[in-house]
Amino acid sequence: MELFDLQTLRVIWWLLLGVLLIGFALTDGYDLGVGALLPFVAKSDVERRMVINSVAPHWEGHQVWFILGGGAIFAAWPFVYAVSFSGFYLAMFVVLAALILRPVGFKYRSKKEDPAWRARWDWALFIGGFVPALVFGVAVGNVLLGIPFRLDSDLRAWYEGSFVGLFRPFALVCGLLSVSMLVTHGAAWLAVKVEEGPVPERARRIGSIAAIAAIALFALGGAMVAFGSMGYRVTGGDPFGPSNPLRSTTVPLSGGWLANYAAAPATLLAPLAGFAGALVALIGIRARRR
Amino acid sequence: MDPGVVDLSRLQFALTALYHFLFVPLTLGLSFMLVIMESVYVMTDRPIWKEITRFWGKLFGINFVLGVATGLTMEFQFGTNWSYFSHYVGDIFGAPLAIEGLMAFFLEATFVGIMFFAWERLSKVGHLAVTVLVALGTNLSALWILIANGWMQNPTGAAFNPETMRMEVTDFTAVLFNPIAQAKFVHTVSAGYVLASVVVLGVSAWYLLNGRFKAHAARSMTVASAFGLASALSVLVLGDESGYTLTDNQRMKLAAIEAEWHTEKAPAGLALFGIPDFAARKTHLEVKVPWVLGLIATRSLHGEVFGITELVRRAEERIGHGIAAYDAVERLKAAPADIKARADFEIHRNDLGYALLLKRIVDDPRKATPEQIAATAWDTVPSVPLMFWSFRVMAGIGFLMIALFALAFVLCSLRLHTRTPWFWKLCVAAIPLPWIAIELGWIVAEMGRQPWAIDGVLPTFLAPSSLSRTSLWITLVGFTALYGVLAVIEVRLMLAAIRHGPIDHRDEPQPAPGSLPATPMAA
Repeated sequence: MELFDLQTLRVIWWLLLGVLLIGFALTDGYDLGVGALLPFVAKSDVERRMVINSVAPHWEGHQVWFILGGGAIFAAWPFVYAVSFSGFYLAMFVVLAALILRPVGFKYRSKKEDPAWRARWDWALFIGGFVPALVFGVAVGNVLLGIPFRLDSDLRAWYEGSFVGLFRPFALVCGLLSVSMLVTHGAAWLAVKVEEGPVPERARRIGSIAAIAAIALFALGGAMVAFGSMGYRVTGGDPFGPSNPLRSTTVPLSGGWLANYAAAPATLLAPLAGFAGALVALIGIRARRR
Repeated sequence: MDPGVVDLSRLQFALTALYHFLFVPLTLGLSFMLVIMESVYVMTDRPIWKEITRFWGKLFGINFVLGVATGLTMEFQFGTNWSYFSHYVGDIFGAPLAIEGLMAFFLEATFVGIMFFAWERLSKVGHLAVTVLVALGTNLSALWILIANGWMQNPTGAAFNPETMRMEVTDFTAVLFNPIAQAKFVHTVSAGYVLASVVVLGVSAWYLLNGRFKAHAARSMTVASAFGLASALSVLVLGDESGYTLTDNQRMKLAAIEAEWHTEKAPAGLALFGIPDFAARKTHLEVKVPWVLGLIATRSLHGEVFGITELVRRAEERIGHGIAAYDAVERLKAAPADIKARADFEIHRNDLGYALLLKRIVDDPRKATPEQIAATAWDTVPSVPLMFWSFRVMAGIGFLMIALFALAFVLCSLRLHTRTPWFWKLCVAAIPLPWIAIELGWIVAEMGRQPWAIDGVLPTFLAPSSLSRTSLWITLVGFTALYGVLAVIEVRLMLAAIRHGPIDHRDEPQPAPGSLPATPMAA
């Protein structure tokens, strides 16, 4: 009587999660980038208002992609939600604190004329943009590296890493890559949206540097995946069986991630699109409108 | 589990949830009051109603952001702090949360921006439609979160699967139409409407006391008195006691609220006053009104309201069955194909959670002594004095609110509300009351659910993440500091906006020179 079998549902949810996370990166991504750029592309209050106003009416709708991504992981992979969010406990707290500053900053900054008041909220908006961009990247890096936890027979997870342990070199490269991508995106947005004053020029300059950094960091990360000892393979267990991690085994396998490209060559398009996208963004940002 | 970690996790959840709910009820209620005010503007075309709508809209905005900001913590803290809970029931509990994001947040987050930024760009009816969508979005959000919370109180439509060691959905419609969730939704949003009405009433009265913005205040007061009276009645009449006979935990909650140590002959009386004494298992100086409790709780003259001692005895029996279920699960872990174990599990599956209660004092519930079982059965009683008094203060304020709004309604109908300074003082004094009642309402609902995280399924002390006390202290101090600063800023901005009043909006569009002339300012 069921509409889809479990296996089909799993694939559908993978696709849905992909859509949600890409939707988040495409929409809220540049809002985060604009926040991270705010103190550097805009110096005077007028400039900063122009920058903030370019995202103020819709950033809140964009953030729903993020909330929805969290809700989807909770509902579809309760176990992933439970293990990763509690494993990254202090990092999650830092992200939450930063994200809490964002709505408040957008709304409260304009409530007083006082320059000191506005300067404080400008830095709050910077934190609200930069910190999540960094930590999300670091988190993705850690997922690729593997998260140290053990399970007991009740499937309770015991995290055995530390907060500092999250900032391994590869994870940091991923974090900086995430920042440089979102800053490129934010800068491109500002270069198009803000038409007067020094803001678009500054956005072009910073955006070009960020795009070059993104290409370099992506290449560096790729090299680390290829030549570092990274990767896992799931062995044993019934892929059509119940969702119980104790019934399969995961073994470390150097180069395991790259082996996936050999198994499904079409997926090579994803990293190629990563390079091509950053390159097109770089050219686009540098092209001057007349 | 380290009991210190459990306590700190509970403390953090209580603080962040109670703090979040300082802002949410005002959002829920004010959003509908904005709809009413703006409808009057659209129908009458009088500019004063636009000024009224925009003024309360400004207060709505200042309050709204903190509800959104602190809501982020709420969604993610299930994973960060309650990871075993998330794993155990995420299948069911996560779904309403995801739907909430899909339906409610997209609606409210998309349209709240338009509501503030597009006053000049949309037609009058178009803007009203946007305001309606914001109100619907915020209230739908409350519906989904209360479906999730209602399921914790009455976990229908789900069953434990020993193969995945977690609860899985068996009947999603049962989860959606859970009677406790429906009752809680009506009760909670109505309470939010009352709170918003009291705020509008109180602030308007403050203007009248100071002789400022009299025309705006008098009109706002009329809206608040009618909306407030309907809502205050709805809080009391709809969705209040109706869920208290459904599960053993709900029955226990009611017995604790009433400090009813033993089952009384039907219909039971309602205690007005008393000093509950857990050690002696009796209530001193009790003042009782005969019949009333039986009538309210069972809606009949013959329905019995179970007493604490009888419910504890029942819990003791269920622990016995639970141990059999637990034993079957352990056998299934070793040999998933064991047919006999599977059959044993099926017989006692509904009581599995009761065996888990024993894990507070023994590692293996199968090794518990009869004394340990008897003591654990008494763990199913929540704090009786806390329940008894929280409920009485909450309900007392509820009745006060009905009286206040009945009075307001009569005065407004007779057009006396602009000439009664004693009434204005009363309205200003009433402003904090609904907040107290609402926070106590959550304490009654959630402390009354103890010792369960999920009624009859998962004890609270098993639900947290395996964190260190140090990590918890860091976040507890961090959240308290951040939330404290934000609260001070919010209250100051609210007071400044109220002092400034409805005329001459300073946050009207003031475009930055030479750029984006059509984009009004938020910054």
